[in-house]
Amino acid sequence: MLNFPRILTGEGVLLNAMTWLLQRISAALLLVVLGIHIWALYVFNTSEVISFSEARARLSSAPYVLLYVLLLFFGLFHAFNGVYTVMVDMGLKTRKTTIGILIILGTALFGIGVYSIIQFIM
Amino acid sequence: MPSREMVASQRYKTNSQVWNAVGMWAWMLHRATGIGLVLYLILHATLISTSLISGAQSFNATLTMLMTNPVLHYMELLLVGAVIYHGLNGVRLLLFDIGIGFSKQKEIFWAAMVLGAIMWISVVVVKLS
Repeated sequence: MLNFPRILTGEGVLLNAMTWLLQRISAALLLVVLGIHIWALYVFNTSEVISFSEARARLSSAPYVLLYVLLLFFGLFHAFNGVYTVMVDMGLKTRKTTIGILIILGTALFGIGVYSIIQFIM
Repeated sequence: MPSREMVASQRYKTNSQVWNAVGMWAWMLHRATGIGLVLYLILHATLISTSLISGAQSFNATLTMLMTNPVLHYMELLLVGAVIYHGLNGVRLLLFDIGIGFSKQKEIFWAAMVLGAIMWISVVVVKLS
């Protein structure tokens, strides 16, 4: 039988435990997807300025589209959950309002990012 | 046998002892680089997305402005440093979370810093050459 850590099963702390776990999972995934992003832009790409046509050539392949959607999702989750954690550590009082604002801002950035990718490849 | 928390509280009896600890500075710098990277991510995602939507001319003009600006060129080196630090210290924290290396946290921190310095200097040399 699996023995889950108490923090994952304790009542009322499940959401915090899941965001804690997702923060670690997103960190590990970001090491990979951000590494590929930096490699593609700065090591593989040798021209001084990245052009629209080069970006289009890169985004014409499905794996790159998936890479950028994953990068956006995990990057924004990791970033905004990190901001929330810092605010809680500094004594944040209005937790629900802050979570709401961060979710709206994160979703908006993810939405505009995915929309721009779709517009770009259409 | 005293618990880990008791040992830690005895080790750090005064405020100055906490501030002299490597782990505290590693944590502070992780937070500082994290906040900096969040601000960069918001700017980066907004700028690239809106210029992509606006079309080829707008995208090329934005990228040329960003990638040929000498001030931004040097600021990019700071960005690379922040990414390397946050990433390597993040790996150190992930190792602790799965139970690896906690008793050697200082040594792992300095090893990560040496690796990070080598990576950052390599990027500086390539970017400025």
